[in-house]
Amino acid sequence: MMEELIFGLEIVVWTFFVIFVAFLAEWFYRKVLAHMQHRVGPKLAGNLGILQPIADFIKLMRKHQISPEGTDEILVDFTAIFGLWIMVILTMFLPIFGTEGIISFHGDVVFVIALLAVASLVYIITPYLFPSPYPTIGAGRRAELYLSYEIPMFLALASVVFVAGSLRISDIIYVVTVVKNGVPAAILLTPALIVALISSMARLKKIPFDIPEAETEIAGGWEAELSGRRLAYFNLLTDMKLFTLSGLIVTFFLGGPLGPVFTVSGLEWLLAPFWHAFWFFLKTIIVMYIIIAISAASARFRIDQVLRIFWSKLLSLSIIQLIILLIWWGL
Amino acid sequence: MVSVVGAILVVIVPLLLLAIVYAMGRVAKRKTGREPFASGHKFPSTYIPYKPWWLYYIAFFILWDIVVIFILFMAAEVSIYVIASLVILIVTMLAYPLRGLGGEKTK
Repeated sequence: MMEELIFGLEIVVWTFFVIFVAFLAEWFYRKVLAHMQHRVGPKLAGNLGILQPIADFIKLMRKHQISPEGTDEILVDFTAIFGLWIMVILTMFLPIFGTEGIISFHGDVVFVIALLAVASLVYIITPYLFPSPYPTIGAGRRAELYLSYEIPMFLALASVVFVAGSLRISDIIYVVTVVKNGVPAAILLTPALIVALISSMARLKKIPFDIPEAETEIAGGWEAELSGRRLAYFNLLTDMKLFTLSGLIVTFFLGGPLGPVFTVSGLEWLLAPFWHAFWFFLKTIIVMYIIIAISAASARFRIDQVLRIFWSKLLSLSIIQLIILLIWWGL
Repeated sequence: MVSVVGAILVVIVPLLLLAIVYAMGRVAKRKTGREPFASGHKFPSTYIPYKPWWLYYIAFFILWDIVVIFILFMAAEVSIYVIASLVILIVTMLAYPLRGLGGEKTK
């Protein structure tokens, strides 16, 4: 009983921890984007505006929630909570403070990929609950985007699983240490890393893949009718997704929390998790920076351009990646 | 943590916490009846008068996606009955009569 109680408390702490990390991710995103666009970015709340995302969240939670007549209110409320809940569950698989996440079992990779697929449904279903054309158009675009990036990303992650020979995330982080026939796996998996990175950008709807919201065309698209606490939750969901997807790329391709661990005897219990978290967050920040840099330097693609990129180029690249691995494995 | 109680805690606790925080937010004061809220256009709210027939394909694709992931990744490790069930599921989904194709009007 005591063990379950401690585990329950651990989950409570973890939930608020990842929410806080999501706010930090948003601050980092806004600050870096502003810097690249020669703006100041958030600066009023807290040092360097670090508390601005929290202030924005509280402000939105306190604002009136307005929706058009005919909106399926209950289901919209449900999807807002459900989407964020899925992301919190996904973060529990990330090996941040050690080589295992809070949840770890054989086959957790499959579970994570399946949860990612379900999370995308939230973005497709929610806009259709509003009786307004803009969200509906946004949902259609989101659905097309989903059909485009899902298979390349799945194949990219499958390449890593193939090299690791395991369906457990705590084994997969060691892929970077694999050397076979004189070639490090980390080098061979570079095409898969590129595919996963670009697919993650599409999953995050970051420029140049922000066609579902496209403010200048469809007034915000899928989120045009969101307001108040719903908008607060969906913004938080997007922030948490940025952190989670960056963390998943780090876990699959960059060794997760692996890195030099400096400890002194008697303090291993404290210093080892610290260094694991340090390396994990450092790598995650680098991945997030790359995503933001590409976003800042790009213009929005049209939907047909996105489809062409994913179905012809990235899908081909991920299949070539699998063939390279098969040849390399067979040698 | 793989115990049943642990799994229930993982599912229930974050859901409860998020629901409580969500409930602390302000609810609707009024319904506008105008759309879209963001742009301020003065049109009565309306659904696009076509069935979103593509939703079927999306739902199908997501199910197909998850089932294929399970089959590909777990084929070597789980019972043949599980794989057979998933294959039957895929075939059943394929056989499901497509309704609403062509995007006909609802009214």
